Amino acid sequence: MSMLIIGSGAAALSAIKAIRSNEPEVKIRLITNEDPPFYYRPMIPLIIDGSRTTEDIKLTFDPVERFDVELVHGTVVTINSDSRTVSLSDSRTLSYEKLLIASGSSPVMPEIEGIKGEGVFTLRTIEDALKIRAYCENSPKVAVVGGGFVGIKVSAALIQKGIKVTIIEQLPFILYPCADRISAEILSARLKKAGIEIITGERVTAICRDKGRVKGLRLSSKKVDADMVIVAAGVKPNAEFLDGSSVRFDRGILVDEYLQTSVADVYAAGDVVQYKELITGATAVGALWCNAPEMGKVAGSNMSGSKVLYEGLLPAMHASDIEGIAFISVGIIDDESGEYEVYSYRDGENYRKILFGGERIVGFLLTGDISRAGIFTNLLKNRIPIGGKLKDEAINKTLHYIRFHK
Amino acid sequence: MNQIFVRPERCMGCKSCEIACAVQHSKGKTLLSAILESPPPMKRLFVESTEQIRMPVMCRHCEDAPCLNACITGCLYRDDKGFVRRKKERCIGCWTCIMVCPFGVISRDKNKHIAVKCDRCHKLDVPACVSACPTKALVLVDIDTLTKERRMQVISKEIEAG
Amino acid sequence: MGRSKDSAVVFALNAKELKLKTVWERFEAQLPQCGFGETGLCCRHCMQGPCRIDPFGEGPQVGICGANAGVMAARGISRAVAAGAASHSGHAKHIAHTLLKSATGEAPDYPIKDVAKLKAVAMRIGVSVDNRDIKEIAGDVARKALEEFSEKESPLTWAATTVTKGRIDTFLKYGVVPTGIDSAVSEVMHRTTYGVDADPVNILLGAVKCAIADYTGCHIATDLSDILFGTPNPVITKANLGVLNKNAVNIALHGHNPLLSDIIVQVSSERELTEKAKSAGASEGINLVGICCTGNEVMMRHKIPLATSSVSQETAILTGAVDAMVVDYQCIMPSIQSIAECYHTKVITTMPISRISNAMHIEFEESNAKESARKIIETAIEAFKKRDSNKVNIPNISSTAFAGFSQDAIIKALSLVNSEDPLKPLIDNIIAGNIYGVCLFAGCNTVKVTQDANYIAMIKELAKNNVLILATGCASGSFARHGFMTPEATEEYAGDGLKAVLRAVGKAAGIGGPLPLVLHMGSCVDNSRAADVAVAVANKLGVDIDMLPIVASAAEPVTEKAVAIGTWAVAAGLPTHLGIMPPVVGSSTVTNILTAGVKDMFGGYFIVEPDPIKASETLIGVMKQRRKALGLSA
Repeated sequence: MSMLIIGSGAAALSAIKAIRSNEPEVKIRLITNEDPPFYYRPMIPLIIDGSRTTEDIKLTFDPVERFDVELVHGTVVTINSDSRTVSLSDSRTLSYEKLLIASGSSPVMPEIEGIKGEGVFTLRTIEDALKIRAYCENSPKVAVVGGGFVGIKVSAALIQKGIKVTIIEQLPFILYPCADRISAEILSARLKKAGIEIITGERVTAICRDKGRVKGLRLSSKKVDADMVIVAAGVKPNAEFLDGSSVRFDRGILVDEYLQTSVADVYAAGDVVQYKELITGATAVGALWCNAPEMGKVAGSNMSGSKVLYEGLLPAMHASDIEGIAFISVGIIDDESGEYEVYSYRDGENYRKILFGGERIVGFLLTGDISRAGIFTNLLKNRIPIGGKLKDEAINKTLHYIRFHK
Repeated sequence: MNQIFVRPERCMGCKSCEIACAVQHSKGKTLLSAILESPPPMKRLFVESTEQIRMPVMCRHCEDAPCLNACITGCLYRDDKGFVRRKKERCIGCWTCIMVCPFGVISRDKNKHIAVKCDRCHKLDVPACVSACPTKALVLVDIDTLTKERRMQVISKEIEAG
Repeated sequence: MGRSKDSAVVFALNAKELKLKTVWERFEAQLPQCGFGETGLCCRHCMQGPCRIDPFGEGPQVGICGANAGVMAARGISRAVAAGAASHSGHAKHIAHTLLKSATGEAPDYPIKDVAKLKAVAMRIGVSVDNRDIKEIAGDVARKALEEFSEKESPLTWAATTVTKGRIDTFLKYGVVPTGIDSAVSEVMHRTTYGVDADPVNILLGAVKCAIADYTGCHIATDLSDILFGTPNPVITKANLGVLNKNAVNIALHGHNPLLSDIIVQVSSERELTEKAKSAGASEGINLVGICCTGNEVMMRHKIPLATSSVSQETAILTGAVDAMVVDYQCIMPSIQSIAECYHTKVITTMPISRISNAMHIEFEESNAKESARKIIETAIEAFKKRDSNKVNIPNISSTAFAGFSQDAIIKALSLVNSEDPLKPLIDNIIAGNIYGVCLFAGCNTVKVTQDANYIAMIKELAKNNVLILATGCASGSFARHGFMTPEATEEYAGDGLKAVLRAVGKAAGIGGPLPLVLHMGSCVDNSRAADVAVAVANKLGVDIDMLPIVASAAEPVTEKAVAIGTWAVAAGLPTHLGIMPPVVGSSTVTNILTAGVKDMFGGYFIVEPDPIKASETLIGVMKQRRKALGLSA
């Protein structure tokens, strides 16, 4: 029996741990096209501002050693499920008995006039971060397209270097769907105070160049000067290489509740997956760091003999510190449909919002005071109903663990 | 592994454990110096209550720790005694651990911008909270010994009923 | 646990901004409270401490000096009695000083109002009245009162001349006769400090002595207040937040001493001030409302309506309609200042010993009382101009309340039934069982139970069992706010026997219905009025108070004053119910003494019972025992 894993990110690592707890001896091979292969991806913005080095953000242990994994460097170009083989770009083929596709996602590069050429970057890998760090030395003005977490974190890193940063977000407010209008306003205020300009409700229609160098961006209704552009406009699953194989995919790889794909013994986990959302059942793609480890664990367990169900993706599950304000949001944050009960309370920069579907928490958001957030996360993910006094305490944020102690 | 066992029926809610924890994690390590420190030291356990019981809620150093699994910087790790601890210099204050701890026992240090949690007083033989408890509501037990004692109790009851 | 049974309080709390913290949020934040404190097993009387005793037996069983749980708990509760006695003493001596100033012409704003009461008190305490100028009599009475506070060789006059002979004998027997009010307080502080009294029974007897001193202080305060401000007679007024008026300048009188509140009431009707209020935009002039005991004082004498009681004192400000809250001392939460800062309300402190940081202080001077009062009212009118009408949210909730049942008024009402022997109808009905017994509700409102829940549950049980209900302090406030001080309440809740009696007296008094279900006897110092009634009945029947089917209930106690009053009620021979656990339960010795041991000595004892229905049953059971012992129908 041999296990083959494509990818070396959070889902892959979590899968390896799960496989090893079921099968200490089975052969595990891992294919990655990244070097270094194992690192804490969310830390790459810190390479840009120089507060961390590549060495600093490598995993603090070596999975190859700890979990006895064979590492293969290469890029997968196709999967042949009949022969149970995987082909790499350098013509090598590797065989498998169980396969996990955890190939992650890549930044979307929108079709915009002028976007091709020097001076335009995305941020996904250490390599990207190093390129950005080098180029921004000569770029006093940087435009960041996209007001999601990647856009904000890269902006926060750039201003450390004294660079003037402008974020351009096409939606009316930043951080959708993890923030709502009010929390976005609170966080934007902090970002602006730190010197980051934020433009919302504008689309980039063209990147203007002069003699090949970026000069600025044309938006729906205004212009912005810039020497460099970082595109942080979302990610799409790395599933294209499956074209022609029997593994079905739509936006992402289609899986069942055991994270098995349309092909037996082939599983998928992480950003590359398309599945249903935990609460609403709507179709969604992975796309969040925090969804990946759980999927990896489920896939890995099921590959190695367990039968574990994956309950579903969360549209938001994010924690960060944005220019000094703590921010945590989990689940469904905005309710356009009026389907959920929404309770919110704001006192200056402290804002909390909790959404209930009947007696179950379907989403919550906290800025400022994030104490005991994990209690809500747990209630939400495990769909635990709370009523009466507990619900009141959840709404007033006086809920403590002892309420659940047996 | 030594675990801290809580006997809620013994808890007086006096919070001596909270004070001792904060003092142990202060610079001066005495109450007097600790209360004068700025910023003040932080406690890592929390005496909570319902109408029926009161007891300190503290980090369990879970075997399958959500915080450890979720940490995006490699700050949280398990030491050789099995305790989940921090490599403080690696913490970037992303608060993912706070987002996932089901007990709500990880806190945010607003001054240092890092996460704070129980380290089981790894430098001491007996954790500060256990030493401080005046009614022995907190006791240090070896899990295997405890479970064995429990089994013996069950068996004796069976024999008596017998 | 809900916060309050009072819908006006709930309304005010729901209307407030979430970030405003009231006593209820602060209580939640304190949970869990320290068990050592709760059980009385903590001592901080010396710097070798603090010490605590482990109630579970494993840790230390004695403090560093060797004091065991009995000594710790006894010392703790005795200091509470001392603090209570000091409070009532402070209140009483303040009035005594003023009476003296009145007699010597230094306090022209405090004339003698009730000459008959002055003479009655004078005669009782051995001051001659025949052919003497009123001011001279008043001066002597004041001086005699002031003598009560310090070192004398003789027993306290106000106690000796008001209790039964049986009580005097009992007090002498157990060595608890105080000779000075302040010296009794001082003695408790002495005997409970490091290395003095270490015998729980002895310590507690010292507390009883101090409690009797407290009783004395209360009686002085009641008597002298009646002399200066008039003895209360029945009045009909209103209670609850709905008494606030959005078209008037609302001034809340909070605290205890009528020396302040009575003057404000008198001055508030002055034309110039009413005109000022109207020019400021208050079309209905000035509206005075009361909170806590001073509220009771002016309600009893001047029909001033009661806005709310102690635990809910902050809700008055939350209505956004209180322009000034004028306070003197005791039971005033320091939080009112920070809450007032979120509104236009001005908190005005008036006493040198009782200031609140950031609150406005207008020191009240007895020599120029009315002028001080005018200044205070003018401040309120100024504050009114800054009222934010968007924040005004007065719940439209208030109840009618019949008040003013001083002991004199009760005797007067009874004399309408039997003019020659007014006590006879009362006693006949007790003997016949129409009045099964009497229960005096005294004390506070605590955050530890749903506000008023205990009072409401107990009065219904007791009244339906024909128990005559007397009330003082915030217990009165509770009953007033919930409509129990009305003839309608008698019709609805009284048992047939009780109803018949109250109807008869009501008819004779011409009020067009029965007397109210609860007879409001006044403020907390006015518990002395209830004591007078018990003494009168005891003397008439020729037995001591500990034989009578009379009980007391502090169903929601809070203050050290309540501990002091409860202790003298026990010393007087009354079984006294406490609705929450007192901080002595960590010592079985002290608990036994207070709930059983004292019974053998004084006939009275404490009954600790948090469940109001069980408490009612127990009290009725006690009355039954006593009736049987007297040979009455049980």
